[in-house]
Amino acid sequence: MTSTVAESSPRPAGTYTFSSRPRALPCQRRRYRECFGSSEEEPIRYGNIMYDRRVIRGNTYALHSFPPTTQPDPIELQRQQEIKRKALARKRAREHLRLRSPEPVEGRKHVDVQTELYLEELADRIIEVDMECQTDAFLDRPPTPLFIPAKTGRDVATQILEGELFNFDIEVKPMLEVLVGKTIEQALLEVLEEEELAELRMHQQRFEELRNLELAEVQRLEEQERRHQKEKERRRQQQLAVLHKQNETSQKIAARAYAKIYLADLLPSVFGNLRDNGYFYDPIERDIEIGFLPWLMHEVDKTMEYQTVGRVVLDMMIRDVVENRLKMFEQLGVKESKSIPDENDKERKESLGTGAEQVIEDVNQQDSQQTNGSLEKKPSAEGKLSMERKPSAERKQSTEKDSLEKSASLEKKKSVEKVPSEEIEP
Amino acid sequence: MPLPDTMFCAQQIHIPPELPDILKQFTKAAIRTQPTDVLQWSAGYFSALSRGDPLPVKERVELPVATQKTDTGLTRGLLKVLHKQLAHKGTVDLKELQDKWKTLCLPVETLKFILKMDPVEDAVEWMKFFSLGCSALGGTLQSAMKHGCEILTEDPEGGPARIPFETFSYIFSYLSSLDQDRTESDTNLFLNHLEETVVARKNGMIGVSDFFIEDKKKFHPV
Repeated sequence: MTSTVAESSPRPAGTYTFSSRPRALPCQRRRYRECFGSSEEEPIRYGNIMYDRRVIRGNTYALHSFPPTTQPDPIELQRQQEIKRKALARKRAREHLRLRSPEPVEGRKHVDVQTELYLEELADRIIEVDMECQTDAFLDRPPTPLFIPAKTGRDVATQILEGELFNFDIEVKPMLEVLVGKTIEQALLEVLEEEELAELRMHQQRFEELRNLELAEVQRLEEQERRHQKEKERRRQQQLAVLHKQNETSQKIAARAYAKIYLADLLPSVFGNLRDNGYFYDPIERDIEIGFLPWLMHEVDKTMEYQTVGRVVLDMMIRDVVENRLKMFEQLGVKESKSIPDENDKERKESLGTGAEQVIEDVNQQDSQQTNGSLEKKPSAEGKLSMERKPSAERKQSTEKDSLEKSASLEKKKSVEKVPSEEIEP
Repeated sequence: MPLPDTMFCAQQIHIPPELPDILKQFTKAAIRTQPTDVLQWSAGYFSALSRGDPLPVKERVELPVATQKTDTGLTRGLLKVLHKQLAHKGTVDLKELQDKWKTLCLPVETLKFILKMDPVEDAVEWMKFFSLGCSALGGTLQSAMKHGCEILTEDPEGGPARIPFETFSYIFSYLSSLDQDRTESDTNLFLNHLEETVVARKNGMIGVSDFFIEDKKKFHPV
């Protein structure tokens, strides 16, 4: 139970305002047994406000208004307590002051006596009589009886014979109208629709047919066109090829003619060069050159070799002779030296020896050279021998004396003379 | 639910549940077929329906054509109806044919006239009668063949009306045999030529376009 207090405009002090939604207070008393579950469903019972103890009755202007704050003011509390005490004290005082009858004389006792007509037994004990009263056991709320309104009006009866109320033909007419009408209407609609569809389809088909025909025709034409084009293209290509070939041929011819002219006098010059270089040879001449001359040379060589051999033999013989003579001279020399000073003899000996050795060596050299150089060319042979001799002379003796040289040169000259003579001979 | 003896209100009237449907189908058929004698035709319709036979109903509404060459009352749609009803039998009794003819409210003279072209005793072969019907529709052989193709075809309307070549050749040879002007060799030549082109390319089905134009080139109008 909540009460909402709306803070409205500031109230004047002292006046009491209470604003909350009016609400019926539930009544606590139940008339019937509580059946569990139904108590909450029942609406809150409204009690009679006239018999509600909480409602203030009578003049309300003089009542003390409780301040909205229910906090008891301590001053107020105190004051109230004082008031209570005072009231109590006053009450006692009044009791005390109340007039009483005088006290009884001695020997007497005051007794209370009833003076009414009929005596009443006054007892301390109050006569109590137990009376019981019991309410009936809780009954369930009986169901509300059906409301049947009271019958009003008058009852009247009548009788219907067959055929009076219901005439089939008349009754059936609207039904028939609907049935037949609807049927016909529906049928008509359907037929129309079907017809329309069929017509559309037919048109479509016709159109398809035409289109197919036309397509076929178009395709045929296209094919034809394509073939024509191809044919044309092919012919064109052919023509181009022919032209090209012609072009090439003419170019070739021109080139050939030009080349011919250009090379016209190439040939004689070529032939001339070849002939000059000896490429055209007389076979007999060639044969002679190849076959005969080498043989000739070979024979010549052989002859020369024989001659050389002869010369060598001759040289050997000369050498032997010379050696013998040398020995003889040496023997002679030895014999003579005993009478001639040593140095000159020695020198001579040396020179002779060396000269003889030189001669011998030279001769050996010549031999070796000649045997080795049989195949050397003729003009250069002399030069070579002479050149070789010179280095050999330089090689052997570092110190050459004139006598030595002379003797050597003499011997050389001899041999040289011999050699050229030998050489000139063949 | 049997009707109670006394009915009290309109709500008690009971309509059989199949009735509306039957009525609707019947109405649609009637609208499509447009019989001149509705009663006659309805009798035929319902007896065919009860027997389970094909119904004498046109597939499409046919507006009366004023450009028909021969005014026999027989139209393509009607012929198609007849074909639908009678094609499954090889030979048809004259009686039955007559019945069906009457159901379609066609004049009997026309029937007699058609039958006169190729007189028969009791029963007539259906395809022959059909061919005669086609020729009655169109005056010339070509137009007859065209009608025949368009009636017999299974292609959708407006499309290339194609029928098997055997059927075509049968009808064609029959009709040309009745015609005194054409010789058999001509017919055979024509058929062979068509056969080559058709069987190779079009699966054995011949369409209107195959012969209708060709005919004008090759043959003088019959």
